[in-house]
Order: sequence, then structure tokens, then C-alpha cells
Amino acid sequence: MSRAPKVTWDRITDETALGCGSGFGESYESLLQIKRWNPSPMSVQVVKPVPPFKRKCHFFSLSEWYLAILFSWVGALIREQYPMWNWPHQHPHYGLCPELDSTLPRSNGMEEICSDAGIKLGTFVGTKIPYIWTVDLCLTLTWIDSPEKSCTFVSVKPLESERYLYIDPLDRGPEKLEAERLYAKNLNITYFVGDRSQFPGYIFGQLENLAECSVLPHNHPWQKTLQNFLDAKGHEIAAYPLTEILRRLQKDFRASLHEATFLKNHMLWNQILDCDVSQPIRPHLPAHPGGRNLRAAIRENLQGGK
Amino acid sequence: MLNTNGRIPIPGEIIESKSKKACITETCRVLNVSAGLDRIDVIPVTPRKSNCRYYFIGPRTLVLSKVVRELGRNVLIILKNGIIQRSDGEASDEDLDKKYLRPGQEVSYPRKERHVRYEIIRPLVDDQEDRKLLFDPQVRVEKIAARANELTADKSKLMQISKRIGGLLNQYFAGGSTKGALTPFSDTKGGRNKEREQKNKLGRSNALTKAKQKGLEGFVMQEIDKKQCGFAWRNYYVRNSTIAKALRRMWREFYSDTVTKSDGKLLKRLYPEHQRPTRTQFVEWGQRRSPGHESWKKQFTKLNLNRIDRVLLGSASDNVVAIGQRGSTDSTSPDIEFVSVVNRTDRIGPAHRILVVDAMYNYISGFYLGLDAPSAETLNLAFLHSLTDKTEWLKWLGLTDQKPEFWIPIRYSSVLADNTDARCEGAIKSLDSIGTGLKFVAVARSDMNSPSETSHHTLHRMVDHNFHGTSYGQRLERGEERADILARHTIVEAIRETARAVYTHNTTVLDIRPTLEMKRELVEKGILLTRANLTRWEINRGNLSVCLIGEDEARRKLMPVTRGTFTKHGVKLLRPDTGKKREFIEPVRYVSKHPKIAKKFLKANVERARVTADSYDDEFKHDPYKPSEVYWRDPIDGELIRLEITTDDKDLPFECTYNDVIDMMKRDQLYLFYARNSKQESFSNMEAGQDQTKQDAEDAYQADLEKLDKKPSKSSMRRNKKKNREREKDMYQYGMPVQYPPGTSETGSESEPTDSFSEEPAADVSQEPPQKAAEQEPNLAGMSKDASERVNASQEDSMILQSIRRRRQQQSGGNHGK
Repeated sequence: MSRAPKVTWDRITDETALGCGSGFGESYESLLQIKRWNPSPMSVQVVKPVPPFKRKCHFFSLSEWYLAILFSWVGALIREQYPMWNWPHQHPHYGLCPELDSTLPRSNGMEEICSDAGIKLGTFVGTKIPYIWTVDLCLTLTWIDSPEKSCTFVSVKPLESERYLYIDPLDRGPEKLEAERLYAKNLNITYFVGDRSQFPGYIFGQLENLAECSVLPHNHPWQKTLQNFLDAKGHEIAAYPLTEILRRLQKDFRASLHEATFLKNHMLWNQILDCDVSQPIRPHLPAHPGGRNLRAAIRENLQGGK
Repeated sequence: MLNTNGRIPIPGEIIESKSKKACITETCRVLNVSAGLDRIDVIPVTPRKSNCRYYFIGPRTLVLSKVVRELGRNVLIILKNGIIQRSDGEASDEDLDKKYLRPGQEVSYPRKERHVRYEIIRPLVDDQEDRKLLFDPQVRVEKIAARANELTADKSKLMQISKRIGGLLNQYFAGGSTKGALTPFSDTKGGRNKEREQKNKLGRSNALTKAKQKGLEGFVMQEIDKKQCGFAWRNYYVRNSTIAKALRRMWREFYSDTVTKSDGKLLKRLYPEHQRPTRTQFVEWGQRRSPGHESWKKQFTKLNLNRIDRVLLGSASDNVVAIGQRGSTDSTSPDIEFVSVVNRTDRIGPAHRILVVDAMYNYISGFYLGLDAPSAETLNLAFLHSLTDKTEWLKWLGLTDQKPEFWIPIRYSSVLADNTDARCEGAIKSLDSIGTGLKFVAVARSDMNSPSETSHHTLHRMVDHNFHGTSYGQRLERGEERADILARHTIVEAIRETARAVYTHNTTVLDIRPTLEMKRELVEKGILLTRANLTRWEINRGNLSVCLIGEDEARRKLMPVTRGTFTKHGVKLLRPDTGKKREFIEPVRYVSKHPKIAKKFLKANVERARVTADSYDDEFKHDPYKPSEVYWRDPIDGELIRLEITTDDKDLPFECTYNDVIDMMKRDQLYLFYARNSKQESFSNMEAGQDQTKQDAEDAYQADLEKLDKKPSKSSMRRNKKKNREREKDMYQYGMPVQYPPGTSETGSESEPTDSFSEEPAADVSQEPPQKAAEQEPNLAGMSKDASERVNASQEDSMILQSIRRRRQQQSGGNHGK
């Protein structure tokens, strides 16, 4: 296993200049990335795009990946491993809507927040350079217009593990969560600690499966098949078993099996067909409704309640 | 929650308030609804508490229309699932006894009390119709008073009993109008789950107390001591330490004084024994104050503890609902040693195998087997194999008995991998290009990548351990033959046998218990439950995570690139192992009739002036383990064009990999070196003979010239050319010199055979020493063909004559002797 590159001020400056830890959407680049030299002794690490983007996302635990998929399903845009810079800096949504940038609060920087809270910031291993903390997921809630209110931080931790079930006052983990909370509070950002164990397992498996079919570009040839199908059968597809949808797409609309499967999954992901993804999807039965309500409920939670 | 949309509630339902301004401000149970009177009776379900006593307040009567309106505005909501009842309220009499029965009791107090309470109100609530009257405040008072009068004749207790009946009725209605609702709140009594404040030392007396010594009874644990025990348990009792050591350290840290010794050094002196916790106290309170730090976990490493203790939600295939949703890949070395395809006595050692497995049914969709160590390149080949149709590949391997439709191409949404071969930028990038993400399991946690790991074991058993040169995956024992000594198989044979085993693995009937769906849709239709059938079934019913991409696209993105050159004979690949030196892989070339390729060949043939050696070089996609084809990508329109192999060696495309071809070339170079050497030597010998002939001719000419008186002029030399030619022709037969039999002169006079040894050429040959004869050989080689044949023939004949003469002499000598 190769060695971690040495952290220097020059390196940090170069990386930030190259855009690591900044940008939005497709152009965002994670500050921490999965490399050959940073395997985890504890977690499953995931390198994979999260819809609707094609860029590689770097998740340092399976929970992060699953929650990112879930939040992406409800319509949030994900920026993973988002840096909380030590020095005073702009709001995470600075630049998202330039005409409102002046209304966004500025952060004092993590160094000041930690020193006020009496929490040791820490340094990069083997150096005296202050460590740059990152929050696991920085969400942009697209259904909220205000850039200030549409930002949410989610810290993903194994809440069922003993480390978080029984908080040790000397443990660094909970201390870091407190620092993250203070940082979010400083910027008036909603902050959560999340874990996949809080959700039924089915939801992640099924969303992971459907995520591949989340995006169908407007100019894609299959878009026409979908529109034709919805125009003809849209009012009654809720009553069809899922296998029947496949059959009709193949028989009546001359779709190939792969095309039909993609379109079915696309309808399920985007809830064109209301389907509760927290329950097992059974192909020989009609979709169980409830997905839209579930999505609305999660949206409500993400924005910190009504 | 239920969106009631303003419907009229049903008695028994629970209404929850969502606003402080609503007509109901706390959670209530609906007791009675009267639409005609526009009234609704509700009762709060949450008990009040006063002086450690729980009680319920009475029913309230509200305007029904207002409640319905607020339900419509979602200010009030009806709880679909009701509220959770107290466990004691739902417990049977036996359950209550089991929980609360004390020694000496026949019936537990809660059971008895519940029965008594119910008996008090039973006449009031037994009748369903009469019960409704109790919701009218006026009637209620009258009925309660009447019941109180029935229960006691003592006027002084009437008020008290009436109050009790009222309270019981409230509890009864709030709890859902069941007998269980009257169960007392015994579960809240006493010090359940509370730590008793210790005042005396617990447990048996210590030795000092037994000896009647006062004030030495032992240590009484206070809250601070318990916390210290917990801290010490968590932080001092760690791996490679013991409880005793941790206890002593705690004593030193928290139960000691620091004293200065006479030499000025500091010493920690422990408190007396009765002023510090005992080991039993330390263990008890240390564990109790440190949940998650149980003693059995202390001696494991963090890694091992994670492996056995951390709750993982199921296995690697959990939450997999579709084919291709989660794959698994890993590499291993087959437990088998290989030999060279060129010469089977040459050992080439072990190989590497990469598997790509679908996590749903452990279907092996592709693999790589070759000499190259796991890398991005070999991983790409494995995934390319998984993605592409196998018909041609099976033909190439000669496995025509296998059905290609059972080799189902699969593209993966994400793939589990360990932190070895797939964890590199090249692999991440190339797999990302085909839309496959990577999930790296934790370090040293291959158990989390079980689909490929179990498939490795399967293939070891099915292939590796059944062939020559296997190590059986075990270390060599003394006296055993080494695997490489027993090696007999080539790589291509191993690929063929692995393909056979994978096919068997995928098409073997599984001994699984079929689900209802499988029974309905497969078993009853007579379809066997094999991995291939199940995978195909899932795909057909729409459980496919990602669509396949085109094979050309897959090749473009995953196939390794090699350099080659367009020549007039086809594409020749350049050897990758020679650095900057340009050397073709000679035995093979690739051709195609595609117009673009034909144009390239033509250009390479005719436009050779003023171009550098690498002018017609290009990049080609190829599978190093399938030399029968390469692909060229047109940079303009991106078309991928297939070129097929052409070679004189018919077996080569089917038996060799590129490595083998290059290895063959290296071996051939040695052969060619000797062949070239031999050729040069032959030419050198021939030219030496020519030189001798020239010299002899020149000498003879000079001798003839000296016989003349005067050196002839050049014109005189040429003058009689025709005449000379005619004379010479007369001496020849058919224009060729006449070949005379041995022993005759060139002029035609035949020499008589004699018994005496002749001094003529035959004698010269026999009498010459062998060394000299050998020296003459080059001269023979240097003569013209006819001349040398003549000389050879005459020499042979003279030797035959000599032997005949010798035999005659022996015969005559022998006769004289007789």
C-alpha cells in the first residue's frame, strides 16, 4: 500500500486553488478522496456517482453512500466531504445565487469556533498544520429558494455502535460532532447526525438499484417511448403489476427488455409511478403507493421541520 | 397518520392535537359521538401525577362540528394506530402474578386490586346503553352516588367512595373501557432501575471485622468511586493488561497519597485497604459504568473486535434486489503450476485469476486467467469478459458443447473489492467509464467480499485441484513432490478448463429452497433452478440494475492498447518488451477487408518515400490472452474495426497467448542465429573452392602460355574462336563434356587393369594421408558441379578397383598356401 503524501501548506494551497472542496454540482470536487493510500480499517468505502451527476463521489462509509442516495432521491444535491475551513470564509452556498450572496452569513472559521468551545482542532499527522475538518454530506435542498435555508449538513455516524450509544467524555468522535454542530449553528445551517440504521434496509437496496435509471436526458430516444407510454397508459399504470408494465412497453411500444426495464425503474425513481420504496417492491404486484408521501416527509425533516 | 379530511371520529379512536389553539389540547380518546346533538365526548388518555399518585381527569363534552372542522384543517389528527397501552394494562392475571407475586402470596397485589376495582364499577359499566349515561355530568353524579350507597352504609365514607368510583371510571374510560385499564401503576413503584445509595458495606465480613476490629469493615462505594471504577475499567483495563494491573493502577491514581521519601523521590502510598475499592467492587462497578466494555472484549485487537462484535446489517448480498446491482471481484492465484506452450518441459510457474461475480445468485459472469499480476489492465479484461458475448470466445476455446446463452453478459452498478488490485486510479477510472462504481471493503475484511471469495474456493475445488501440477493450496510437506515438477498444463488449457468449470458452476441445479415466486414461475414450468436460469429470470422480470453497453464501447474502454504498424501485408504488432527498439511480433499479422483498413494497407505499400519508420504506427486494442483478433478504432467516427489473425502456424491462435508468441520469438532467435551462421559458413566454403578453381585455371593457362614461343596478341587470341569452338564441340556430346569411365583417359584410350599398383590418380588418392585428402575437399567443393562429380566418381571407382585387386591377391596368396 502506497504512502500518504506529506501535507504541506503549498500542497493545501495548490489543492484549494485547483478547486478541491469548492464548486457546485458536477464541478464540485471532494476535498478528501479515496486513494490507494487511505483504506479504512472499519468502513466500506465507495467511489461512485450520485444522481443526477456523473462525477465520481467519494464516500468513506457505506452509510454515507446510502444516505446520499436517499437524499438524492428526495431531490437534494450532494456535496460530500465538504470542508469547514479553519480561516474565516463564505457560506457554503456562496456563489449559488450571486444576487443573494451578500445576504449570506460568513463563517468565523473552524479554528475560532473550536477555540471558543474549548475543543482541540488538531493537526495533520506529522505536521503542525491545523487539520481541515470536513462534514460528511453538504446538501442543497433544491425545493427551497433561499440559498441560506436550502443548505443542510449531515454527519453520518454509526449511531448504533457503542461509541455513540455510550458517549465517553474523553472520546474524540462526539467532540467533533459538537464542533460540527457549532459550525453549522454559526452559519444558521440545519445540522443532522444520520445513520442508515435509522431507516429500513429495503429502501437503500431498492434506491441503489433504481438510481442507475434516475436520469433520462430530454433528447434521448427512449424519452419518446416513455412519453408515448405515459400518454397512453399513464392514468392506469398504478393498477398494473410491474411485470405488466414491462410487458406492455415491450409489446405495445416495441421497447427492448433493457429499455423497458430502464423506463420502469426511471418511473419508480422519479415517482411518476407512486411507489413506496421502503417496502419490498414485488414485480408481480402493482406498486404499493406511499413513495411520494415518504419523499415529502423526508424533505420536511431535511429542512428542519415545517 | 391518517388524513381524516374532516370525517366524524369513531368512539375508541385517539385524537391528537397539533396546535395549542385547538379545541382539544392533549391526546384524547373518543367516548361517544352524537351527530344529532352535535356533541362529542372525549377523555384525556395521559394520567396526571400528584404526590407519586397517578390519576385521570374526567370526560369532556365538545362541539362535534368544531372538532370535525379542526380535523379537516389538520389541527387535530386521528392516530391511525392508536396509542401504546401500558404493558400491565394488557397483561393477563397470570402475567401479573408472574411479574409481581411475592413470596407467601397466592395472588399478586395488582391482580387482586384490578379485580377489586372492576367489581366496584362493574354495575355501572356492564350495560353498554347505561354506560353512555355516565358521559352526562348530571346523570353520572347520580349514578355514582347510588353505587356508593350500595357499597357502604357508613355515611361518613360516602364522599370518599364516590370520589374513588369517579376516579376509577375515568381510568376505565381513558384506558379503553377494558378491565385491564384499572390495573394499578405498580410498575412505577419502588426503586426499579435505580441505584440504591449504599450506606453499609455489603457482602460478607472481611477478616478484620471477623476478628472484631472496629472501623475496618470495608469500603462503602459512593458515586464518585463508582465513576472512578468505570473510568479505570475503560482506560486501564485494556489489551495486554489484566484486571489486577488495572485495579492497582486505579488505586495508585485515585486512592493514594504522594509522599516524599528520605532520598527526595516521590512515592505513591496506597490508602489502607478499607478505604479503597476491592477487586470485586472494581469489577462490578467498572463494568456497570462502562457499557460496551465487557471483559471478554478487552483482549481482542480493535480489528478482530470489529470483525466479531460490530453489528453489520447482514451479508455482502443483503439488500440486493436486482442483477448487476452489486458485483464482487477479487484475484487469487490458481493452485496450479504451468508449463510453456512451446516446450512443456519448461516451467513457467503459477498464474493469476480474477473473478467477477454477481452478488444475487453468485453467478460468475466473467473472469481473467493469465500470467500478469492483478492490475488495472487485467481487471479491465475480467470486466470486459463479463460484459461481452461469449460465442466467439467459446469457439476459440473449442468449447462448442456449451450454450452461449448460459453465459449471460452483465454490467455492474457497483462492485465490491478489497484494497488490492482494484484500488488504483487506473481501475477506478476505467470502471467509472463503464458506469461501475467500486466499494472497497475494510482492510483485512475479505469476509465482507464473500461472493468472489467463495467462488475462488469453488473453482479451486472444481479446476485447480483436479489437474497436474496442483499444490492443493497447501504448503509442501517433506517428501512430497513439488507442484512445479508435476506441472503439465499450459495457460490456454487452464483457461479452457476454467471456462468449463464456470459453466458447470452456473448451470448446476442449486439445492436451495425455492421461494413461492420461483415455484410459480420456474419450478412448475419445469425450469431448473440454476444460477444461470435464476439470473435470466430476474433479468426478464425487470430486475436488472444497469443495461448493457455495446460491445464496441466496452472494448474501447476496457481493452488494453498495444502499438502496431500498418504494412502492405497487414497490421504487425510491435513487441511491448523491447522499449524504444521497434520489433514486430513476426509470426502473426492481422488483416481485414474493411475499406478503411484496406486503404491503410495500400497507403503503407505505396507511400513509403519520405516517411519515417513509425509513420504508419497506430494503437490497437487487443486481448493478450486471445491473439486471434485485434481492434482498430477510427479516430474520426470512432468505429471499432476488427482485424483477424493471419499466420502460417495453424495452432498458434488457439494455443498461444501473446506472451507465448513473444517467448517463441525469443527462442526462434537462437535458432535463426545458428542457421545464419551455418549459411555463412557454406557460402564461405563455396567461395574458397571457386578461388582455388580460378587459381588452378590461371596456372594451367600460364603453363600453356609458357609453352608458346611468343605471347599471342589479343587479336590472335580471338581470331580462331569459332574454329576452336567447333573443335571443342566435336569432343563434346550434346554440347557437354563427355564423362569418361574411370581408368580411361580423356582422349579415349582405355587403360588396362593391372594387378600392380598404379601410380595414376587412384594411387594418389589412396596413398595420400587422410589429412591431405581432407585439405583437398574444399577444392572439390570449389569445382563446377560436373567436374566435382566426375572427380568423385573416378575416386570411388578407383577405390573399388583397389579393393578388388586386394581381394584377388588375398585369394591367390591363400591358394598358394593351401
